Amino acid sequence: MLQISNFTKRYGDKVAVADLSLVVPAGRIVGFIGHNGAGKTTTLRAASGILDFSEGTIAIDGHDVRADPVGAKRVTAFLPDNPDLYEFMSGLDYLGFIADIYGIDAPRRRDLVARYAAAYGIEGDLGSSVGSYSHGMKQKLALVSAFIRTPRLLLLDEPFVGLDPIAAHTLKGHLRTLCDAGGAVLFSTHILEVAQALCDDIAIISHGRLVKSGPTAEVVGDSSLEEVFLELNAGGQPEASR
Amino acid sequence: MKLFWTLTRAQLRGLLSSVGNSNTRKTRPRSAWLMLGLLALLALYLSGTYSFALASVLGGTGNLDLVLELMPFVGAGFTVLLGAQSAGTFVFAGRDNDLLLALPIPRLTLALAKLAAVLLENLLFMLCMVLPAGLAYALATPTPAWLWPAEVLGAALLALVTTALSVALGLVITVVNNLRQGTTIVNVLGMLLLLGFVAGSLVGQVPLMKSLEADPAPVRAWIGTWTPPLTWVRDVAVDGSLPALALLVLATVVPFAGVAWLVGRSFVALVGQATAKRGGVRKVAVSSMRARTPFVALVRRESQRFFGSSIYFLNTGFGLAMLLLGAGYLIVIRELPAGFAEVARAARSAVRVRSSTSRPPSLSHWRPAESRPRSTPRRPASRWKGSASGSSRRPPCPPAPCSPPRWRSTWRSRPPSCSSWPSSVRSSPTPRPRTPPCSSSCRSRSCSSSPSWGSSRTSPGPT
Repeated sequence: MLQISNFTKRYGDKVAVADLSLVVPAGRIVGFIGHNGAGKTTTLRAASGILDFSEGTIAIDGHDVRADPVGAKRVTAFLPDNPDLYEFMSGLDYLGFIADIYGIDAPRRRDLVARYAAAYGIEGDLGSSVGSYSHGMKQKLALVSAFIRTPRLLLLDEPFVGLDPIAAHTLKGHLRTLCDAGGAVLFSTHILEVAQALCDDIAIISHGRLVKSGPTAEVVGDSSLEEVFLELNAGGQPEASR
Repeated sequence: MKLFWTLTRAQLRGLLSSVGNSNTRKTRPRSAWLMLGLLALLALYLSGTYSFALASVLGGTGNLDLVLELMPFVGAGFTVLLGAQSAGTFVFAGRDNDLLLALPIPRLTLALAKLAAVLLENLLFMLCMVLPAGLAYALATPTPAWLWPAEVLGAALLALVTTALSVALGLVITVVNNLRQGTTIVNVLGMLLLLGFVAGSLVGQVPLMKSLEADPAPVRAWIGTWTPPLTWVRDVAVDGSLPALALLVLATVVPFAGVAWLVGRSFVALVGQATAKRGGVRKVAVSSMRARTPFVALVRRESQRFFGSSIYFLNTGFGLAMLLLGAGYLIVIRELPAGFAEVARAARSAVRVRSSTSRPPSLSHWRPAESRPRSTPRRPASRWKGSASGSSRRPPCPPAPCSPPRWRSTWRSRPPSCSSWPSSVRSSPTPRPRTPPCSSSCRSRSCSSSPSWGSSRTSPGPT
């Protein structure tokens, strides 16, 4: 579903991500793990088409992100770590805006919005302006807006931050459902327990380079993901890459 | 097209919500419309004032139509400067860029939607500048039927080209704003330049009016040479010239389309470049940390904020900066610019005129009782109330003996300074006859012990 080949991103002289290659097959949840500034967000932003890059290729469902950005984005939903939603809109207006962009017809959007808003418990707040939402509610609204697009690939940057336990549990269920339906998920997280329990595959990035990737069972082996991660980053915390 | 309108609507709402000055987000849209309406009214008022002033000057020389070029010139200048701010904020550094770039929207559509929001803002201000000029022209001379459609079309076309310029300038502003090192100095210098331009324009009005009164031909020639679209607007509005219309369309639509295409083509790269933080990572040594008192820590924090924020610096240190700039200028140049000298002379003469009269400026209508016609009712003493700072604007009265002011039955204590009042007055809580506080013959003398009328709660003063 997502194929990243030899992706390199530089900020001036600084190399944020170097020669990264990663494949996210359909039906798999892939956890993207790394220290702060390792290059996780840069990779996710480049894959979602927000960030320009000059080296390497990124393809989503056969659409090259640079050559056919609209085709690639049509099957993708990206959720940044701190979603900047339109605060002057109400929650319902915002979901309507997203549905308009994706050309979702009225009966279908009503059905999808009702289903996902109820699942995350924000159906009673959709009339309020987004500016009055808490961080967790914004996160929930962004998740609802992502799921109503029925994406084939979901890119999530720290999706569990700010979510209450019920919403986090619901999200895990939705991610699994999406993958069971033939979709794929790539998400970054610092909660290693969640990654180990939820992900089919794990990719560990350090200093802009992919240091380990594969099925979770193989990566973890007999120890825990935390031990593997600490072992791979034994050099201590590096400087922030971005 | 539907996608374009959906996006443009969202962009406009975003632009409006940033104009609003309300603390609560619920009332922000209302506040935004109110603010926009007020700005438009202000622009209309200013434009109307200058349009009619210019029309009266130019009418005398037979060059009334020049007002149709001069006011759009002013409008173009302002819309470029205002639009540059909006373009910097909304096009290149928009908070919603991440959201929009992740959506399946063609980049050209996205760029056009963002530019359309800036364009509509520019169009509003351009109309506010152009239409009063048309009115000043139409009231002074018979006008052709196509004047008003031509003026509106001219404003719309000029807004296109000013939007293109705004976007180019906005890109530069965004890049400069994201320079990590020296940002504040660059920002402050930029804002000082802008303020200097505005101040220079204000000061240059007098010489401009004089030169227009003497001979408008050089101004007309300058506009024709350097800003030909403004001349074409005039040609279309006054003469109905179709070649001028064709040239105007060409000169305005092509730059806008070019800028839109360029921005759309490389929007992601431009946004990335414009908003990327530049400058190397500053190496610091932990050993350089020092212990400070809480007071010093607070002062340091405030000074860092003061010099780190251009807005803060300009709001609070602008006077000092101008003082230093002016002093530096005078040290180097040693004389005031012609416009400033003229304004300074006018201000000095105005001060002299005021200081030669004994009355305060706000009471220029006041006349002593002797010179007042008998039919004029005497101004009650209570009209002169002391200001909050304690200074009194009431006419001076002698230190003693003073007539007691008109008394209020609710007074619980006498005014503090008139100790020389008769004891009967001091002890009497009953209302007194309507006696003015000072006799008319002593108004010209000063009274240092006059009570501060209305400034004390215990002595509320006469009504």
